[in-house]
Amino acid sequence: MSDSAETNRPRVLRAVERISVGLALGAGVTIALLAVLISVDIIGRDLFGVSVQGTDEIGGYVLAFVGSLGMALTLMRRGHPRIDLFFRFFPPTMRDALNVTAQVAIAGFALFMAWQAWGELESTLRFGAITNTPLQTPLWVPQSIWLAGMVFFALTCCLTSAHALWLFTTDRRAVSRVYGSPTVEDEVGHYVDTAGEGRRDAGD
Amino acid sequence: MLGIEGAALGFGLLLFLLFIGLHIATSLFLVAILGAWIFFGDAMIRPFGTMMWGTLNNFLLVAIPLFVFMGEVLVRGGVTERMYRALADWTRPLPGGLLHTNIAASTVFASISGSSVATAATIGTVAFPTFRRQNYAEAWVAGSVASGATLGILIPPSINLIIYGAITNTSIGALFTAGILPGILLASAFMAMIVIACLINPSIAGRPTPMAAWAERRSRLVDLVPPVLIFVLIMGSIYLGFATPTEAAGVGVMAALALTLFYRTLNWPMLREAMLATVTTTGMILLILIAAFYLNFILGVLGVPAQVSAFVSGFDVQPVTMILLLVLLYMLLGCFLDALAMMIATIPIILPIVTLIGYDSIWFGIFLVLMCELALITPPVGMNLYVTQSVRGRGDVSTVIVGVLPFCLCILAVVALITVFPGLLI
Repeated sequence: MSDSAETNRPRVLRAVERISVGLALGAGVTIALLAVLISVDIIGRDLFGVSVQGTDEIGGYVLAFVGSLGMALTLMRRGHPRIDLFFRFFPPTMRDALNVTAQVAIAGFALFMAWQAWGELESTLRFGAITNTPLQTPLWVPQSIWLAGMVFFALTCCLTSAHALWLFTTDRRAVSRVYGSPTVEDEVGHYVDTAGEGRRDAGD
Repeated sequence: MLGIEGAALGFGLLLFLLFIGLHIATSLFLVAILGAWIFFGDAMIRPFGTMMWGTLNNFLLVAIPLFVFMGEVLVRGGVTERMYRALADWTRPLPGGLLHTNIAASTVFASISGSSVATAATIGTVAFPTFRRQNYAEAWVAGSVASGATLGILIPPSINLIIYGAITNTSIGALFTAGILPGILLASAFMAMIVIACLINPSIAGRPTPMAAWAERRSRLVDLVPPVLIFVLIMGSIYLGFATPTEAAGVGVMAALALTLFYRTLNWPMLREAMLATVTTTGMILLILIAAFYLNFILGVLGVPAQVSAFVSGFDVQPVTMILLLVLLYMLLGCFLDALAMMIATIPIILPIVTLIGYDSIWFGIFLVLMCELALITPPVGMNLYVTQSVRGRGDVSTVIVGVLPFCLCILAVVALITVFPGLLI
């Protein structure tokens, strides 16, 4: 998506990117499996009158899993939206400083979320909470995975912040290239590529 | 409690944080946490963890990754191109010829995808080379691609309507159903605009081309069946009560996978990209939603929605005048804000006003999405303008901006229509 950003990153961040791609693929497979489960549930329920219990509950856990794991990859690929409309009117140093500020601010947000997620899991553990559903899921299981995802996101944010700060002091011009908003070409590119391939496949 | 001035100050702070380039989610979160800290101290910060778990562990919102995945699989599986060609066969005889294909293809595409960036990018990629061979007026081609693509967030399944439904506790099935008629009306208005323009100035439509042979046209019609079938499957099962929107999305994913398997475009690289795009889009939306739900909660405890409606009811404005003011407000905000941010940031303040003057939350959802559509094509930040320009790959974005102007009028006309006849949205 944004190659220019990736090649400028130190090894540890590239490793984090690879890990987040792996986790995201795991999350993607989970979504596909959920679709299978839902379809089986509907066919069973509407055609044969038998229901797989707890599809909605599992679906909720899948979302918590996908969402928390996805945030890190979204950050690495600069997919969390920002409004850069007024950036072009700012002097370059200020623009770079604001790009660093945005990374640091989102890191603060992510750390807060991870801390709060830990608080949530802790109270679940303290009360041994079990869901009031047919599945009777011990809540700590999905919440632990959720916490792991939030911690991974917070860690990623801290690393990108540190990197952005380091670039700001050593190679200021690289800040906007690596941590500025992605260009429209970055966002459109993959659709254009796949549309092109699709057209060739369609024999045009 | 927070007065109306305080609420305005908070909104101003939000705009400031957005404009200095903080991430949208961070900006929403900072305003919320600041409000909570100033007025309640620690007491209203503690519920954050529980709210965050509630936002993420929500079966309603599971529809988002599922619908995004379905759309990604269909786009990457080449369904759009086949659909575009099939439609092109039939729109040629109309005044404006192939320009109608852009609108018709966007309409059909919108019914299997909830994203307008994907719509603009894919339709544009197929459209521009075809049109250049036939000397169409470039502004109209670009305008019809950028504007047609905005239908993606109105015609169900629509990610924006799911988000709206989740925030306002409005039935997503009801919102989806309500989106169909305005979607068709808007598509028809776009086409009527093309017809009128081409009758006045036939040179817009370039050289007419002979139609394909009847047999060929009929055989390509088959390519329209799958997207229509997927749409009917999704909306039918929701409407008839066989499935919730989330369940319908799950079935849609299976249908999309089966279709691409049939077209032999289903392979691991395609699936991998579709999954990564789905997960990043979901991560993006959920991070904003976590912040938005918390902001909503804090505004609620501070009594802001009630105070805003009390403030507005102090003035004796006619409902129509109020809607006109809201249209102007959203047109202004739409120039500076990203469409999704605009929607999420204004719901808690504007919904109470709209209910006060006698419209329901379903009506406001459709109104808001129409205003988001306008925001997507108004400079300087209209995303669709830049996506279209980027796919067009030559000239300047100003051509696209000129091209969308007539279509902006169509969106405003549909807004006027649903304001005068709110009964259209059933």
